[in-house]
Amino acid sequence: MTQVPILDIRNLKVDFATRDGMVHALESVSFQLVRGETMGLVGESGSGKSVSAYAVMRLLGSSAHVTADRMVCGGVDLRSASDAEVASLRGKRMTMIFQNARAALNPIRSIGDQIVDVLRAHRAMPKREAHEAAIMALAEVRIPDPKRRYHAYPFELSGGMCQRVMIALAFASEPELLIADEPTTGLDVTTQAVIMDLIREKSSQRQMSTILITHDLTLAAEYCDRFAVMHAGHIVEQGTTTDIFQRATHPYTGLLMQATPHGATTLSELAAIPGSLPDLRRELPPCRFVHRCPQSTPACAAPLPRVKLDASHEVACHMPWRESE
Amino acid sequence: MIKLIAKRFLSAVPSLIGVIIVTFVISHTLPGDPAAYFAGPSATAESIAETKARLGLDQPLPAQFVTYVGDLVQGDLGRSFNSGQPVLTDLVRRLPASFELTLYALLFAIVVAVPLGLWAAVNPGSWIDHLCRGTVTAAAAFPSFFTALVLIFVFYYKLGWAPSPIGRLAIYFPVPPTVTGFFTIDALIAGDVGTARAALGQLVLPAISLGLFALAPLARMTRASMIGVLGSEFITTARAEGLPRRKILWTYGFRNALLPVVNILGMIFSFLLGANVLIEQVFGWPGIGTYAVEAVLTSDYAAIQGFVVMMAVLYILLNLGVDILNMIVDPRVRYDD
Ligand SMILES: Nc1ncnc2c1ncn2[C@@H]1O[C@H](COP(=O)(O)OP(=O)(O)OP(=O)(O)O)[C@@H](O)[C@H]1O
Ligand code: SF4
Ligand SMILES: [Mg+2]
Repeated sequence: MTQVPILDIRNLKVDFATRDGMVHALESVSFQLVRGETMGLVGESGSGKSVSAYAVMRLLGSSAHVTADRMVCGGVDLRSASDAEVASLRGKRMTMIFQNARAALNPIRSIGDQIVDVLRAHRAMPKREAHEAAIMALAEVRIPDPKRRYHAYPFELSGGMCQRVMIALAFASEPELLIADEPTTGLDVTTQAVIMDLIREKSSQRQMSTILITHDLTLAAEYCDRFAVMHAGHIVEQGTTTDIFQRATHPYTGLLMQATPHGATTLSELAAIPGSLPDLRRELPPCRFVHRCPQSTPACAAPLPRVKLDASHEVACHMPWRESE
Repeated sequence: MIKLIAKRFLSAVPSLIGVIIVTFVISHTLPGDPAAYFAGPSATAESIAETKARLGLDQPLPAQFVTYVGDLVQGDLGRSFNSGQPVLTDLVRRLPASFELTLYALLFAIVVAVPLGLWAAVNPGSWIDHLCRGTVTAAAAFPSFFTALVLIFVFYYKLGWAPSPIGRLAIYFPVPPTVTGFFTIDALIAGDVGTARAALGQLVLPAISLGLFALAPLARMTRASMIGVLGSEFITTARAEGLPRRKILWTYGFRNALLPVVNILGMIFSFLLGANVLIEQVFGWPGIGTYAVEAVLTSDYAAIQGFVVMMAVLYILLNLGVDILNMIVDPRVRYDD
C-alpha cells in the first residue's frame, strides 16, 4: 500500500518520572495506519497498549516524557503541535473510547447533552438542531426510545448502553481515527458482539481507521485487518491477521497463539506464558522478553533488529521462528 | 424525592431526643444556683427556697424533665430568668440577626474561597496555589475575635471606612418593618436604600471576621475536589472528544467538583453559627450568641436548653436544606432511596 497513512508513529518512546525512578513504559514503538484499516493492539496487561494510545492522543499527564522520530496524524506533526493545536485535532481527527464507559461519561450531565456538547464543539450548530442530531445519534447506536433516553444519566443505563453512548459520542465529531481501548471488556458476550459490530459498521461507513486495543484475541481476529503485538513496551511483531495467527514468528507471539485454544479465551485468563513482565523501572536488556524466552541465545544481548519478513510482516527478534520449523 | 426528604427528617428524630436529654442533664449539673441569683444578694435561706419552689427547682430531676419535655412538645421552651420573656420569643427575635450575619459571612467565604480553590486546582504548584495555601492557613491561624479587633482597629479607628462597630444599625437609621428579619433585605423591601446600605455597612466587618474562619475548609475542599475531578476518567473523555477547555473546566469539572463542597456547606454554616458567639460579643450584635453567653454566665437553664435545642433543630433543618440542594445538583441523589 502506498497510501499516505492516517497515523504514522516511528520510534515512540515514553518514560514516566515517578517517585521510584523512571518507568520506561514504551520504547521504539512504530506503526502506521492507513485509511479504513483496523489494527488490533494486543499484549499482556501492562505491556503499554493504553500508554501508546494516550501518547498519540497526547492525554498523558505531565510526568510522561514523550519522544519520537515521527509522530504524524492527518498530516499534523504531533511532536511540535501546540496544546491548542492538538486539542483541535481531538474529536475531529482522532478520538477515543474507553473500557469503563460509565466512568468515562460525565455522571451529572444527561447523555443527550453530552452528545450535544461534542456536536457543538466541532460544528457551529443551533441548540435545537444539535438536540435533534443527538437524538439521531442515539438512534444510530440503536438505543431504544432515544427521545426519552436523551435525558437519561449514565447511572440509569447498563454498561452496554453506556458503551453505545460512548460510541455515539465518539462518532458525533466524525473522526478519521478511532482508538478503542478495550471497549468490550466487562460486557457479556452478546453485548460484546453488538458493540463490536456497531464500531465496525460505523467505521466502515466512513472509511475510518480504528485501533482496537484488546485482551480478547479471538474477538479481535474477527474484526481486525492487522495486528501489533506488544510486550513490555515494545511492539514485538506486527503483520496481517493471517501473519499473526498462522505465521507467528516472534517467540512471544508464538506462545500466545499456542496458548490460545479454539473458542473464546482472553489473554488475561492465560497463565500459559511463563514468567512475568520485567520491571520497567530497571535498566532493561535490548530484548525485554529475554528472561522468559525459550529461544534465547547469547546473541540476544545485542541490540534488537527489526526483521522485515515481507511487506506487511515485521518482527523484532534475533531468532524468529520460521515457518519451516 | 418527597419520600427521601421525609426519610431524612425522621432519621433526625433520635438525635433530637438525645440532644434534649443531654442538654437537660448538663444544664442541671452546671455549677451556680439560679434560685440564689434570682432571689437577689440580700436573700435569706427562706426566700431562696421560696424562689426555688416558684421556679419548680425543688422537684426531683426526673419530674422536672417530664415537665420540661411536656412544655417542649407544646412549643414552650420555658421562661428566661434573665429577660422574664418566654425563651422562644427571645430566640425568634434574635435569630434573624445571627442568621443575617452568618449568611453574609458564608457568602463572603464562598466568594473568596471557591474561586481561590478552583484556581489553585487548575494550576497546581503555581504561585496562586501557594497564595491559596498561605491565605487559608493565615486566616485559620488567628482566633476570630482577634481578627475582629484588628479589623476594627484598622478600618474603623485608623481609616474610618467602617461605621462604629456597635449593633446592626446605627441609631439614627429607622429599623425597617420586619418581613424576613434581615435588615438589609427588609430595608430594600421597604424601598429604603439608605438604611439597607447602612445595615450592610454594619455587617461588613463582623461578616469578614467570621467568614475568614470558613475560608480554610472551603478553599481546601474546593481545591481537593476539583483536582480529584480533573483527574477522573470523564474529563479524559471530554478532552479526547475535543471539547473546548472552558467547557471541560466549567461544565465538566467545576459542576462535579461542587458536589462535595455543597455537602459541607451545612456543616460550615452551623460551625459559623457557633463561632458567632464571640464575634457577636465583639460587635455588640444582638443575636443568639450574645444571648447564649449571658444565659451560661447566669445559669439561665431554660435559655441554655432552648438555645441548644434550637441549634440542634437548625442543624437538622440545615442538613435537610443541603440534602435538597444536593438533589438539585446531583441527579444520582434523586433516585437514591
Ligand atoms: N502515569 C504513569 N506513571 C507511571 N507508570 C505508568 C503510568 N501509566 C502507565 N504506566 C506504566 O506503563 C506500563 C504500561 O501501562 P499500560 O496502561 O499501557 O498497560 P496496558 O497494556 O494498557 O495494560 P492493560 O491491559 O492492563 O490495560 C505499566 O507498567 C504501567 O505501570
Ligand atoms: S531476541 Fe532472543 S530472547 Fe528476544 S525474543 Fe528473540 S529469541 Fe527470544
Ligand atoms: Mg490499558
